[in-house]
Amino acid sequence: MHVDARTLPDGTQIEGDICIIGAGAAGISLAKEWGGRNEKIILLEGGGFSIDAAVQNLNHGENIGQNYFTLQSARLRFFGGTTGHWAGFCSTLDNIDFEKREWVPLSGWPFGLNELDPFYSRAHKILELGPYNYDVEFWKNNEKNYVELPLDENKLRTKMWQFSPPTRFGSVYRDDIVDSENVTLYSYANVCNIEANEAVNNIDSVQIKTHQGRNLEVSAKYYVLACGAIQAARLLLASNSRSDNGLGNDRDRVGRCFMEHPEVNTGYLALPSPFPMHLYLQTIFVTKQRGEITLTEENQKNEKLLNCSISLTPNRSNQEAEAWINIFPDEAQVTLELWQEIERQFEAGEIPHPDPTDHTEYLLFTRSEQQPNPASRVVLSREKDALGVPRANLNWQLTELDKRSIRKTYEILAQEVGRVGLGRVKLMDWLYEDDNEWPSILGGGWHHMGTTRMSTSPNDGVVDENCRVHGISNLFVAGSATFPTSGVANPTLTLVAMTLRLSDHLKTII
Amino acid sequence: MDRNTFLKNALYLIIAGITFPKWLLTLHIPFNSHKEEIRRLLSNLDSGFILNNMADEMGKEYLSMVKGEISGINLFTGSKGRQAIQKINLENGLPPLFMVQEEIKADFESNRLIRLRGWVLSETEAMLCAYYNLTT
Repeated sequence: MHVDARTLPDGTQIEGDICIIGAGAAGISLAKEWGGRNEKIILLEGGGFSIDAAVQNLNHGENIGQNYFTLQSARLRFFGGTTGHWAGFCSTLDNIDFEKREWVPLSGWPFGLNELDPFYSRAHKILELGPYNYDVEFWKNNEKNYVELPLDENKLRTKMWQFSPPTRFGSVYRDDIVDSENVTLYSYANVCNIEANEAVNNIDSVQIKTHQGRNLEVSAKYYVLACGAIQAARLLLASNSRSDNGLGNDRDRVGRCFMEHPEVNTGYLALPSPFPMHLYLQTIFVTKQRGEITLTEENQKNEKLLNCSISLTPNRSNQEAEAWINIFPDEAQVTLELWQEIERQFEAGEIPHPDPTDHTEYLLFTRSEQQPNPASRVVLSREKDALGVPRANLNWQLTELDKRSIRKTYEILAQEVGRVGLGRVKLMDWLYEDDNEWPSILGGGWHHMGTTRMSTSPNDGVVDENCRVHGISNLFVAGSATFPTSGVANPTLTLVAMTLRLSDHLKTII
Repeated sequence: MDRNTFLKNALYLIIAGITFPKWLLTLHIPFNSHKEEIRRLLSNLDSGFILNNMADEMGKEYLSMVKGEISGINLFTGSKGRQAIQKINLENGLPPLFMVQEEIKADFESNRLIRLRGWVLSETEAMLCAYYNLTT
């Protein structure tokens, strides 16, 4: 069912079993899991079925740290959420990403990769991906043109990615949600406050406001924040009527350890003659899987580095001048239009498909793990949005380890490429400048993670291993906000897998 | 000129003659005839497709980086050179290609690498570029 909250009378009370706040990849995946059951599911979405400037404006906030995309463009507040401008990159986290690494402060998940394995498999279907297999040998056996670069497999490996169509949740799953009898989607229902009981160990209700000035209230047995890592932290911090520090924040953990994947042009690979690169190249919307180059887990341990991945793009020279963040549109609407234009070009056959056997020069592009850093955080602004909620400011902070990990990974690649006589690698100057300085070309992937990080102890994080907020019995967080570490995999596949895991957990306790 | 002065001058000339080749290399003024030979050697390396056009500027950058190191010592047999090149002795002319390739491979295996104009090269390649640059 679908109800436009703007049409409801002021003071409307809504009751249900599970209240899901946010209808993006996590919220819709969770709601779908409960479709056709007896429980009454309330799915609250701040926007409608298309971008609305007034609603999108609620995401405005200042970047007070590292240069970053404007916050109003980095997240889409409408049905389907940020999958509306998703590029479809999917990969699993690696074993090492779950481990406690003594050289990475605050690293370690409460469980390992095996725990997520069955949920990754289920998430594959939701994200319309190919076979759940990320073993490069599997893909080499299936694609005769796939040849790995002849690098020392003890040092470097090919990590596989798959590409979702990409699944635009807002269109692909709209009917599933709207036609469901036990799931009710409330659009234009912006949650402004989460009300806890006096002891602050249980949530009683959430308050909704509309731009028309109407106030609604939802009561449920369980509440799941599924609204992105910035908004989830913002809501917990701003819901401070019972506790000055906000909810789940007795130990000042909420909003901290915000992580992105530092993404940046880093170097070039030059070959004396073309090498068949079918395994490594991607044409957007065309390629279904590709490999990127990462250090082996053993080598990460030996060198005490973060995870870092290198992808290849043919024939792109002199990219140092390109300021990725600065050239991207400031407003979400323009971002969406850009994607729609790319999709149109694809459908019209206008997107060039590089011949993987025809190039001798490649741009090397980094997507790196970011060290969990308490100083990298979401904080509340003194300024309030149109609905009276303090805006969120982002203080994205990187560390010396972040930069050293990228530099060392590339140096190992350069050494290997030269050793085997494949060619030579050129590294950009910014890698060798001050380790606390980052170039203007540094960007991210719109990957917001870690602000309500998972931890066994409430001293180290916000949610427990079942994604329940420490100390609050019926409040959960779904999405990449719960990731203790980020790995190098784009987060969507993992956050959907984690949401399915949470869904199974809720089924055991409801 | 008396007999003593003649003998003294003759002795100086003999000493200068004996020490001349080493003294010449110490000042890094390689024989002009090597220029084309070095260029050919660089072209035939695995990295020739890069060094071909950039050897001169890479060599210049390398020399500026190791300025203190090469002052008064031989480029290839000084302390910096000894780290990288075990077998190359330019006093006997340019070594065969395979020997240079071996040295380059050994450099990459042992991480004796240097970044010139952004390119990650072996020390042997870097020194050959420097030698090329010095050869006017």
